[in-house]
Amino acid sequence: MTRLYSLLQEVCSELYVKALKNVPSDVKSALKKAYQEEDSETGKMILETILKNIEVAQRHDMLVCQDTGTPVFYIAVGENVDVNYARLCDAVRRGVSEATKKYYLRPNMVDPVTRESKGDNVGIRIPVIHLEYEQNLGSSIRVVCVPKGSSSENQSFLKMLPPADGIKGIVNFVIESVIAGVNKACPPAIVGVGIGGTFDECAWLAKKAATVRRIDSPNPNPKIRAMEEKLLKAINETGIGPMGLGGKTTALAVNIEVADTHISQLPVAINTQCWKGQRAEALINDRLEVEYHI
Amino acid sequence: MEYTLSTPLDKETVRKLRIGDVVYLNGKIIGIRDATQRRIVDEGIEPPIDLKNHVLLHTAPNARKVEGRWEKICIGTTTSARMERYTPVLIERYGVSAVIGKGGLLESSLKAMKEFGAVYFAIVGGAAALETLQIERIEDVFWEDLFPECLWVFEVRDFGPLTVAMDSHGNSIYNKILSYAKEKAPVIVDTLVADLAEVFRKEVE
Repeated sequence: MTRLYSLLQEVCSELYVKALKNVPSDVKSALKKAYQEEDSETGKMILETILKNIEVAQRHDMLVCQDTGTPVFYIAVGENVDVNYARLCDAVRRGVSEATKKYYLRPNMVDPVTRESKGDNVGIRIPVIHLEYEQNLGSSIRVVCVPKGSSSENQSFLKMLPPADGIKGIVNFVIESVIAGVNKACPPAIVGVGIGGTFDECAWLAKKAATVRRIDSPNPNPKIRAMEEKLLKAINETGIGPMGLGGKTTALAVNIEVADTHISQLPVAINTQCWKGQRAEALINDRLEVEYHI
Repeated sequence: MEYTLSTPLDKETVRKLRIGDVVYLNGKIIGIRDATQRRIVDEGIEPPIDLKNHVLLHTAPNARKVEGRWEKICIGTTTSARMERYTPVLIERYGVSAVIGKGGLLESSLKAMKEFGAVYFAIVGGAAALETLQIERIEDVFWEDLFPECLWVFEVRDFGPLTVAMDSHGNSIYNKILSYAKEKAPVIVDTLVADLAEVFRKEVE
């Protein structure tokens, strides 16, 4: 069992740097498609530069962007996995600290009030770790690292709507929030929307939708899927475009996650993710074999 | 129009630039950020070099010092909105000609740009690998105590593409784009609501 935790440490360290040096395959495909379809001259030039940057980062083994983000981990376990939560968290923390030092990653994390940095991207409740259960995993552990850049994280919004506002309230808040902030989130962005749950759950759903979920996997609920498609089309009609300089590609995708909520509540949250969509994933099976996916 | 320009930029060159123009830069550019500007503007400490006609970059460099020399690791551009408070002072008092950033600046900067002759260049945010390669070297570093928010002097080559997003004639692409989006928003929302009412009424395949 001790070997699992030292392996987890190694996997978390690798995932952190892999997420910063690569752009996930689904996001890269969406960027290529956007480049083909963009009509605005400035927008096309920006998308071309983005694609060139991804290639250059790969060729020279460099970071795609200088912002090494807030280290966030989503860890899902199958029903046959028995883990010690304290040791798991410790392994993630050690992994982040190790990667920060080994690869000279910029230390971003500071005390919220004194602004003092400990220098290795580990601190009070940092890295952020979400542990969930996934039915189809069996005896495997899925570790997803989603370092979150600050420009896009600063463009986050949450509102406790009155239930009477209904669908109109939801879409109005999404469109309003996108117009208010997406131009500072390094668009074309991935827009994550959380609907329902509680204040805290709703925010996490929006974050999970924007970062952990692939952008080529629509919501399994056909009504929510239709909402995702129509919201994406609507957001792209605003004309904000790549880097907010105009064009039809303001968002690459809209991902929505829902949870049931209280009879007197309608929480809606929006979290944006920049064009990099940084995410790296590993699957660890019960023989402790690791498979990386980007 | 597309231009390749050498820095520093004189006021005549700056006045020629219009929103939508694309620019590539050669020469020296100066890297600054929150703490650097707090020192100059809030604490009133004179910058260690003359900023007249210089081009500033809103940056958060990832660099390390090896045997007394600064080596670049990854140099990218940060969001400009936080610098709004300082920019008019840098333009008016120190004669800065251009600011490179992402996401744009606001009205007081636009006003100073018009009055004293300066522009805002929008870089492609997040494209730091490319940016790092276009920075040929770190030529000088002042105020190392503020690391990584020191005052950096970079030598750049074909640095860009940069889009003139705010010019010295009172025009801002951001203002144009956002007022269009805001004007269109009610129609976008109404159409969407009608569409979705349909979806949630019936089953979709």
